[in-house]
Amino acid sequence: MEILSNFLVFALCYAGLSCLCLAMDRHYADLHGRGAEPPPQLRRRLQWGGALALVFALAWAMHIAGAGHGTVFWFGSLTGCGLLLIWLLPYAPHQAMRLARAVGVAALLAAIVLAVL
Amino acid sequence: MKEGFRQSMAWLHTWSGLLVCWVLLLVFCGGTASYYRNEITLWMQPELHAVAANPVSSEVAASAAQAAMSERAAGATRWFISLPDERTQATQLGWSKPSKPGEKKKGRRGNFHSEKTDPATGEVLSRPRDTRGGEFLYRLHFDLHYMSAIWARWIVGFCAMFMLVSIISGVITHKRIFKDLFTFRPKKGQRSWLDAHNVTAVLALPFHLMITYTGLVTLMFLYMPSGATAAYKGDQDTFFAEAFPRAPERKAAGVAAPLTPFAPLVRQAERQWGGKVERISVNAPGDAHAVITLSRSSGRDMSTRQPSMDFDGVTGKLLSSNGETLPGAAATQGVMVGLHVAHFGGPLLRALFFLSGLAGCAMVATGALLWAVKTRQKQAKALAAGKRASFGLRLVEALNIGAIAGIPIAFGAYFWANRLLPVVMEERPKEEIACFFGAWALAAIVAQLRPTRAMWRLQLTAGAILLAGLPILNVFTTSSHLGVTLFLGRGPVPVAAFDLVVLSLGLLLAYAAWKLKPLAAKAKKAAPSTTSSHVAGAA
Repeated sequence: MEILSNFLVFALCYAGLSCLCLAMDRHYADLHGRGAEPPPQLRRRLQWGGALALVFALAWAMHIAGAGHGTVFWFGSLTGCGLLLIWLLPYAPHQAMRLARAVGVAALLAAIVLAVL
Repeated sequence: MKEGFRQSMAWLHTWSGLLVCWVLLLVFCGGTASYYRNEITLWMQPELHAVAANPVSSEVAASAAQAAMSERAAGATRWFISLPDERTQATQLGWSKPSKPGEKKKGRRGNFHSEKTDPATGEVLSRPRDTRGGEFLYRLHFDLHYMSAIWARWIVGFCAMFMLVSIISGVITHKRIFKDLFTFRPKKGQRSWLDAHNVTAVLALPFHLMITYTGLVTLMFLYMPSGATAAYKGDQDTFFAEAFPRAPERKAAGVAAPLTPFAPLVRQAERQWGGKVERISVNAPGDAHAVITLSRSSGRDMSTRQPSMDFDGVTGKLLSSNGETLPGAAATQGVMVGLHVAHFGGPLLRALFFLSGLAGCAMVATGALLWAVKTRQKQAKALAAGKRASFGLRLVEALNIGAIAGIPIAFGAYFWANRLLPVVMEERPKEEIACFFGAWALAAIVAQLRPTRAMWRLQLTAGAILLAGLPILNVFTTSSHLGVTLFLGRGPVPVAAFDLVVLSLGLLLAYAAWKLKPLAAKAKKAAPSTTSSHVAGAA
C-alpha cells in the first residue's frame, strides 16, 4: 500500500509536468513537427490538467506523510520526475509522452484502488 | 549603474560562482555522499557484513548493552550506547574513563573507548578493519582536511555564502526560467552546457536554496556570533543554556550503588514518545547519583533536536523530560539543521535528497565548464590565429579537469585503498585518507601540466575504471560482492546498493569519456570540451 501511495505522488508529478511541458510551443513542436502549435483549447486543458495534477500530488503527499515531510517529498519527486522528463525529451520525445500517458492512467487506477481500500 | 540590473546580476553570478566552484564541488560531492554515511561505513567494513539483519527490539538491545557495559566499562565516568536502527545493525558502545592523575591529556578522544557489539548478545563483533568510512566524507564536506577545523569551516562558510549569492543572482539573471524549464538541447556546444546548467539548477532549485541556507545555519554560531555576544555580553555558556535548555548535571556522590535495569525505562520512554529510543547515556554509572538519559531517534519530525528523558540511575524515577516543546527559535534551528542532514527521511526521501545532491554537483560542474567554454569562444579568433589561450582560461580549464574529473578519482582511490591496504595496519584510516588526497593531488597536478581534451578523456576514464571497478574488486577481496548480495539475495541491502550506485556513476563517467573521443581532423581546432549531455553529473 505504501508503495502504491508513493507511486501516486511520482505518477501525478510526472504526468503533470508532461502536460505543462506539452502546452509549450517548443515542446509541442518537438512532437508534432516544426512550427506546430497546440490549439488554444488544448493548451488550456493541458495547462489546467498539469497544474491540477501537481496540486493533487502535493495534497496527496501531505496526506500520507504529513505537511512537512509531504512538502519535502513533493519537491523531491518534482526534481526527480523533471530530470527524467528533460532527459528523455531530446532523445525520445514520443516515448516520453507515451510514458506520461501510461503513468497518468496508472495514477488514476492507483487513486481508485487507494480510495476503495 | 551603467548596465541594466540583469547584466550586473549576470556578472555577479559568473564571478561569485567561478571563484568558489571547485571548493563547492568538493563540498557538494562530500555532502551528497554523506546522505549514505552509515551505508558507506558499513561497506567499508566487510567484516561486519555477515552480522546484519536479525533486528531485535530496543528493550532487548538495551538490556544486552547494559550487561556488556557493566562487564567491560566498570569505573567509567560516562557511558554512551547507540541502539541499532534500520540503518545500523550493530549496537555501538562507548565509554570514557577518568584520566589518571599525572597522566597527560590525550586530546578530545584520548580516554574514549568504543566498540560495536551484537545487539542481541552484547558480544563484541569480530574486530572490523579500522577505517573512518563515511565519517571522513562527512567531515570533509565542512571540516576539509589537513587543517584546523575552524579555518576550514570559515572557508566552507565563505564559499557557501558565495553560493547563496550565486543562486539568487542566477535566478534573477535567468530570463526564461519558466519558458526554458524543460529545455535541453544536446550536441549544440555552449548552448547545451547552458541548458544543462539551467536544468540541473532550476529543477533542484528548492533543494539548492535549502541546502545552502541551512548549511550556513548549521554553523551560524560560528559565522554570526554578534547577536548572542552582544545580548549576553560574551557569555556563550549562558546563551546556549538559555537558548537550548538542558537539565542540570548532577555531581557524582562517590557512593557506589547498583544501576537500575534499562529495559523498563526504554519501554516507558517509547510509550510516551511513540518513537524509538536511539541513544542511552549514563552519567556516573554505578554511583548513587547516576543519571540515565534516553534520547528519541529522529524520524518522527524533521528536527535534529529530539526530546530526551532523564532518569535517576538507581531508583529509575523520571527526573525530567526535555525538549518536547521547544521555544520557537530553537525549534526553527532544529528543523533547519534537520532538513540539511535529512536524518528524518526514509529510504525514498533519502534517495531523492541524494539525487538532488547529484544535481547540485552537476550544476556546479556545468557552471565551471560553461565559463571555460564561453571564454574559449571569445578567444576563438586569437586561438585560430595560432595564439595560446590566456592564462586565466588555461588555469580554469586545468582546475576544471582537476576538480570535475579528479574528485571521482579521489573517491575511487579512497574506496580502493579500503579494500587493498593490509587489513591489519598501523594508522590504517590515515593511509586511506592519504590515498584519497594523493590520487587527487596527482590528478590535479597532471591536469595543470597538460589541460587538454586528451587529459579530460584520460582522467574521466581513470575515474570510470576506479568506480565501476569497485564491484569487481569486491569479488576478489570480500565475500559480500554483488554475486552474493544481489543474485543470491543474501547480503546486506546497503552493500549491494553501494556497489550498484558506484557502478552506475562509473558507467556515467565512461560515457562522458567516450563522448570525448578524439575529434575528426577537420574539427581539431574546436573547443576541447564541447560535448553535450550533463557529463559532469557523474562527479
